[in-house]
Amino acid sequence: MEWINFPMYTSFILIIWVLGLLFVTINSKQRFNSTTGNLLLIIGVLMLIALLSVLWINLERPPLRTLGETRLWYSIFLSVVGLIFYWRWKYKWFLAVSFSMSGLFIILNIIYPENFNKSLMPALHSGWFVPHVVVYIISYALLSASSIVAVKQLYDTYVKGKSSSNAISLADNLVYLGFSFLTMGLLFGALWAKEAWGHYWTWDPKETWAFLTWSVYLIYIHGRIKDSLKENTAMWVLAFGFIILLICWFGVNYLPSTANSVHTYSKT
Amino acid sequence: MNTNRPTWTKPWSYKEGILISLSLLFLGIGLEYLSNGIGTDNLLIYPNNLYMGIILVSLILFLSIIGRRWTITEWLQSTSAAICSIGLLLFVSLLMGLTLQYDDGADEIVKMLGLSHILTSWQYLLANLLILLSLGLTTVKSIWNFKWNKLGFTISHLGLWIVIFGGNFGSIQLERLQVKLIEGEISNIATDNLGKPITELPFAIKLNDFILEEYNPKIALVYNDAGIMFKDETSSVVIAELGNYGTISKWNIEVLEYIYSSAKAGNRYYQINEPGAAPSARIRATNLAGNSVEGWLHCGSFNRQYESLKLDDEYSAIMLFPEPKEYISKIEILSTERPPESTSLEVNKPYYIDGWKLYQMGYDYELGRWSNTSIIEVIRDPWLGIVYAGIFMMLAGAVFMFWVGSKKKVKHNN
Repeated sequence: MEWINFPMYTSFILIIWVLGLLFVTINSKQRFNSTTGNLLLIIGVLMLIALLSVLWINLERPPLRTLGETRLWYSIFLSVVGLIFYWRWKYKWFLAVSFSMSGLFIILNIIYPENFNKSLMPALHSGWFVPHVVVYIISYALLSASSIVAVKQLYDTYVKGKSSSNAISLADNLVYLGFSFLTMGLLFGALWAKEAWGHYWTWDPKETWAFLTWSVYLIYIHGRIKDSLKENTAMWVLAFGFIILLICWFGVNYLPSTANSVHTYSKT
Repeated sequence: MNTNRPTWTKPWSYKEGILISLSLLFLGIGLEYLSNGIGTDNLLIYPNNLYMGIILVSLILFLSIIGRRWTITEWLQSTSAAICSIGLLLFVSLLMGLTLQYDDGADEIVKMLGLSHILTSWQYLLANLLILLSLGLTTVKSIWNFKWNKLGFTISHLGLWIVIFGGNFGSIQLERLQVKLIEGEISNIATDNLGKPITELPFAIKLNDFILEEYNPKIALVYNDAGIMFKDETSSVVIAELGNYGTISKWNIEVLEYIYSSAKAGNRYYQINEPGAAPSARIRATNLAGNSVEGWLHCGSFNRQYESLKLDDEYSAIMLFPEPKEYISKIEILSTERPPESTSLEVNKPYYIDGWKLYQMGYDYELGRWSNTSIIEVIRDPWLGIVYAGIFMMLAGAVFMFWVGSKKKVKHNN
């Protein structure tokens, strides 16, 4: 990758974000601080989007094939989710953690750069490629944000002894949106699979884990109907769901059940 | 949840739900053991799937009408039943997600308990039946008490029921066969994936041309003694393209000449068009100390020897086989009932004819772009339309959920 100095460029974004977060958190009653903070965070996000665009143009294919490339998308969506939900719900800890997680994924990309490889196997030449993966990553961003709420709630309950029921509404909000994207991603995948591999569902390990992820969040949603599950139990379900999600996203390639998966494009 | 209520008194909740789910799990594993680990393989065949569908729908309607006040019906329509049944299927699928799903080579006990073939195990069947029952009753109830503001609920639940039933029990009737085509020849014999003839198709296919496009090959380094490729997180390949350059390990590689279709004559390669004429490149490799090596690389083919370039005692440069970009079969479909149809089949672009979908599947990998063979997959799935209807209902449900999720009320203290 010769066109851009990835570590320099992204480190700059990280610095802008740290400054932005400081402005937002410290003395945010002052209008100036809050505006500057938000502005810095937005500039960082726009810079990331610019980076992704350059990558797309230079690779001559959608940058969605390798884990490194999907991490970049994830960083963008997670930071956007962080901002939008912060503006709506006003939780500073939520803003801080979502930007930190987004930043963590950028750092992962700096430490483990990928072979930026132009070739794309024929099965990925499809109109479904971009919607399937993008919808999935938006959903991952929303659902991981919901797990941030879950961990915070569990921490507050067990360590501080009291938790906020408002924050659970935030979690519900994130899960509903995230689950709707997750469902779309899953079904787009099924429709694509029929075109590419001849059947809409073959229980390929990645599909199995995608189904497991979907099921856990389905349990959460049902558990929140009329408080069917206790709030605490629901938060545990959310935390557990995120572990399954992470296995689905990153871990599947390392599981013994993944001998012949069609979803491992980046092993070479 | 009233925890003081004695178990099995109305209304049932999580206690009963967990007991029911666990009983079904153990019943499934027990049945699996009694069937000697054969599972539901012989049971789930056409037309048993249709009978099962009829029985299931009748049972759902019966419970919805006659037994609508029964404790079990009310429980099956509750969220606790939804959670317990999803939980059971989740657990069974988790086993599938963690273990290798092949009977061959599995331990006898693993096989006997159905763990190496979860999809055809009794526990998987029972978990699905519980979900279908609970989901079906909930759906019927929501149809009978239909409200416009619960439209999203009704269609997503109905869609999911259709997808679970169609995907598990309808797809039993899926026919997945292959046709091996040779350029200029006509075939209507469909075989299984081992090449055993299964049936004659109602149409014949003629392969007029097979075209394979490739990406430019990559240049990589191998360790001289181990013969394995050098891999690094930052860069471990350079794409062979005139003027392209890059660094692998401590070597700067520069591509001075590139010929896509070439053969060797004397000590260099020349452009030539004949079967087996593979890519070659003349490269210059320079290391940090300023030592420079120049020479030809050739990736070889079914009838050409590859050529590598030794850089130093540690590394040699090699050219990898080019990766396919696109492969296309130009075919003609011949049938007694219609005029011949010409089409191009490529990956991701199947062709539909008389209930069959035709897919570009493979070719002679050894011959690569000189292959004159193309493997076409022919698939028939009579349930596809039904399952698709379910999928689109679920998609509509997802849109509804997006709507609800974004309108979710903000409860602020201030």
